Amino acid sequence: MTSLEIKNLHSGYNDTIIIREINLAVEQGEILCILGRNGMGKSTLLKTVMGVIRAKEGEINYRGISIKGLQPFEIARRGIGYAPQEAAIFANLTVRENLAIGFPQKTFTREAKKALGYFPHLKERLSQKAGTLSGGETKMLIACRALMGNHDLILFDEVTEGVQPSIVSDIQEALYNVNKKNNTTIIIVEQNVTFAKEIAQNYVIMSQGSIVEKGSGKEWDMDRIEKYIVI
Amino acid sequence: MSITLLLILDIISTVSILFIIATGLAIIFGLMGVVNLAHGHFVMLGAYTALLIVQNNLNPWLALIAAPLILAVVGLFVERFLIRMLYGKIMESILATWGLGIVITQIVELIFGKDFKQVPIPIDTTLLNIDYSFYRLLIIAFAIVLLIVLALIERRTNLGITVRAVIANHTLASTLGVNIGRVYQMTFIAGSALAGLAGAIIAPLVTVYSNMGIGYVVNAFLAILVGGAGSLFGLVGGSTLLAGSDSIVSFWADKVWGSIFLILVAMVAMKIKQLRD
Amino acid sequence: MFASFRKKFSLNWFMLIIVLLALAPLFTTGYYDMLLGKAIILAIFAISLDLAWGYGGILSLGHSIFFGLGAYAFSIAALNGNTGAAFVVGIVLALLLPTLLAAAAGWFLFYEKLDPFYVGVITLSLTLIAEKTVLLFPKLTGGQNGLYNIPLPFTLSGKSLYFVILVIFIVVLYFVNKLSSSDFGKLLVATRDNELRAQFLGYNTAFVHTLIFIISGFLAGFAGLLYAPYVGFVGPGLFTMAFATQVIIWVAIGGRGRIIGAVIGALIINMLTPVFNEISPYLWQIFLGGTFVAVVVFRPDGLTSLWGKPKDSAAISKISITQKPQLSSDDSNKNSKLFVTDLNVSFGALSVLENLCLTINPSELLCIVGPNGAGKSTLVNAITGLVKTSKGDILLEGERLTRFRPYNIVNKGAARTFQSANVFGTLTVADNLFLASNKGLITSFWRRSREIKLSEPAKRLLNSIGLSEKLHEEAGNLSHGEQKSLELCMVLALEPRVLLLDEPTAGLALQERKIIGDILINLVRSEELAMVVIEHDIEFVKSIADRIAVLHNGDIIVDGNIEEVTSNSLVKEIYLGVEAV
Repeated sequence: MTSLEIKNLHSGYNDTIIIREINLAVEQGEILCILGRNGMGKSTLLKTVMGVIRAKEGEINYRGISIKGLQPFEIARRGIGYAPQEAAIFANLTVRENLAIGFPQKTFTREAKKALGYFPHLKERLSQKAGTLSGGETKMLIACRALMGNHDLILFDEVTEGVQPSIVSDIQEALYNVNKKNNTTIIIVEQNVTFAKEIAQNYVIMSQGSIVEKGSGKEWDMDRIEKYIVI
Repeated sequence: MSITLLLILDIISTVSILFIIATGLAIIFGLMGVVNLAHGHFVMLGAYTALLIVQNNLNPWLALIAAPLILAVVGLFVERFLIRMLYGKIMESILATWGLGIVITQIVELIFGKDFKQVPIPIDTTLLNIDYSFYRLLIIAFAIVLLIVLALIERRTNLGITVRAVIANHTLASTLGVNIGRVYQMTFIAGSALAGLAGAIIAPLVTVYSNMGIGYVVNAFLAILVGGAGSLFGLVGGSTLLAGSDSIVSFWADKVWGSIFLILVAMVAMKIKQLRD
Repeated sequence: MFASFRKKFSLNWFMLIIVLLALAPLFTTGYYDMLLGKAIILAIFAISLDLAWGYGGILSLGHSIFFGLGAYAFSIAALNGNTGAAFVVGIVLALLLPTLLAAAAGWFLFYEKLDPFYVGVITLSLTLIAEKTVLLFPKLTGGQNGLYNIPLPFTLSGKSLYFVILVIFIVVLYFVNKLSSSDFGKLLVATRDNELRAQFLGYNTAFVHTLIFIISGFLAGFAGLLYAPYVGFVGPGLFTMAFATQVIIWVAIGGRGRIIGAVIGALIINMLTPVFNEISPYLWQIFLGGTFVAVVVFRPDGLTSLWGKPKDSAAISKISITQKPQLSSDDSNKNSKLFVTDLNVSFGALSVLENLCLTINPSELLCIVGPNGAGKSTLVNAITGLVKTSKGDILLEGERLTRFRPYNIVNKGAARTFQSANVFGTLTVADNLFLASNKGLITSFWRRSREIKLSEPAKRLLNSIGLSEKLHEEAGNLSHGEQKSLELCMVLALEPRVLLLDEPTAGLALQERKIIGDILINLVRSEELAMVVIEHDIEFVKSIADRIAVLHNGDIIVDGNIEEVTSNSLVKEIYLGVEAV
């Protein structure tokens, strides 16, 4: 079954089009990685799927039903989790409160227990203000929150950015397990190709707002990838 | 009873009244980025509700339930047909709610006339040996209870977490499944209900007339400016500073000088804030 | 052609109103003559609010305080003397006191960015103070009863007095039209619509706000001065919020940001009010209030905006080139242009830049690259004063930049552009360039420049991207690429010594990138400018950079020429990511 299907998507801010003619289909249970340099439209694509930015043209279907034009909370309630990239925590709330947003008390206890299992380190910080976390811990919090709530599709935007190797491996294991156990579809936007290669089956490369390369299976064309990513 | 104690009680009750009025306003401003200048008019409507109840020989305490209920309904309609178009637009919200206030004032004058009304105090006794209006003491108690309840909601409940999250970053909260539109709607209704309640509470202490709300709303906004809209305790601080200086000066000089001094203190406090960062 | 037609169109409205007002007394008598004259005086009051609010963006909720102060000052002086000297004192005080009050209020109200909430609450509370103060001194002010029988300095009455008022009105109209279409008028609109850009062109926007508020307060006081002897009575009602509200309603319904809107709104509503008050004052006020709310929500520019935008006019027709000042000494060139040491910036507990050191030399183009969130934009923001630094030093040719306001820093010679095009969208290309070329000086209140003096590179860029053909187009209607180019022209017109560009090619097509790249290289070579460019597009960086600095987690980890950076294994690791262990 197709989880997410995007057809001829155009999106951007105000008058500026940032992504153009995006066509993409992600199967249920697939892990897809979107690669590319900064400013090429990767985050804009995820934000458009999530309804944070309004699509200008094209279709976005989730499990066969259009989610284009819905508000972010409606999309979230249909089962799409999202770990945004920048400033994606509530600095003045504690870690526990950050995780609790949007959940009734009972669901929260259950879901938090499950997700925190992957991040034992975060468990010790539950009553600390999220603003006092280190960069790596912040990313853990964002990842942990996206894993809560039984989502069928989770979008991760640069979840390993600026994170030390040991935490990268925690995150990797969490994503891997959720994918295996619940057949959750995962889309990651990454600059860390090494990490992406470990976990994703398929990849696409974005450049100047469009998808320029697609690859599948474990056969990753590293030369082509480097051309689009390294200086 | 000593003058000092009297003064202190006066200060605390004045601060309490300002705090009760300002909370509803601060919640709406902090959460929605909407300046509701008609908040004072909502307070006035609450006071008129108390007046109507007394005029119809009903139990005066009923006003404390009826006023917030009526104002909640008013808030529901105002949010639905006006405020919804003004989220995050400060200047437009100032103007539109200001216009709304004019309309409300004129309707009230059309129905009730322009003259000043009095609402009798529901409980005109003193407690124990304290020679001070028991009703004012009740107001102080109520403000403290309100503060504690709000602080508990803010810190201890899921509702509080949601509200603080929406204040900090509403887009992010939305991607986590929070229905922002619903939060805003409920906030405005709650804020309006608080205004109504405040109106019913102060009605017996003041003269009730169509423009009575303006002075209160201005002082409440000044308290928010000084204390910051985002924090409950900042608001307590702002209310204390302003209402405190008002009552002290009113006590030594005169009420007019008190209100002048209040505004000057607010302006100086704001200037210090500006220059410090 | 079109512009001049529109100008005539707009002028004709003024002519029409004046002719109607001149003919009106033919059909009125006694009481209605007085109403007409009063409506004209209130129209002047409305104009004063429109200058502050419509042009300056300062929503004053208590403008009646200036009007009331003017009216009372004259009345008190005139009643206490009724001699020539008393009248003079009255007139001087009626003009001086509101002006001084506006200046004092301006000092409190305006600081950095205009905050409509703060301005609204404080101006509103000033009115409340004034209303109460009047009652504090009943001997002077007449208290609740007000002051009666205020004498005129000359003996006129009825229709002849009306015509005196009309003539004064025409003079006022002439002056405010001159002001609103002067260079200062442009600066006002620019500051109102994009305060940040104005600050980064070197304008002290808080001072601009204070100036227009003073002018507005003066004019409101002048209206009050006319009102008191004309009507013969002043009461505390002049200070009330209700009165302050009325004038806002006239301007809002008529149309803010244009003189004609304030005039029409004030005249029509004030002439209709006595008529409808006879039916029901309450219903009339409810109707006005409702209309006001509807206008605010659905037609924020008022009813006169239905006629379309009032387009002036004597537009800028000539662009000349400024002589480049000779550099005073050679040794200033040998030193580094920009010198950053030990820079720290943090937002709360989050540390964005940590002990960052960076040197930029004259005639050097430095590109800063790095992953998102590395702190690139924060670095530019820190240098240009947009964010506060917590530690460290920034020196521009030896002069310290830290702890200065953005407009100071621009005037010291460090100019910048923003990630997304940041121009004055409501002004023409020519006006955008004019304000930039004026370099942060307060513009003329009277004159309207027909000529822009641009620096040579700005002019060259303007020609090469074809913007010189679009001088009279509104900047907001340009394509994104053209807007970015215009912004670049504008900062070049500032003749900076250091130029900081935040993603100059973001959102641009390949062809446009090439043009911009060539221009940047050219600039650095020919102007001895030091340039810092933040860029994501690595191909672009390689084609322009003399030196590349890689920023990662708030510090510069590699700094060198293109080969050094591209061959660095650390850089590759950052971009490809580390392996999980």
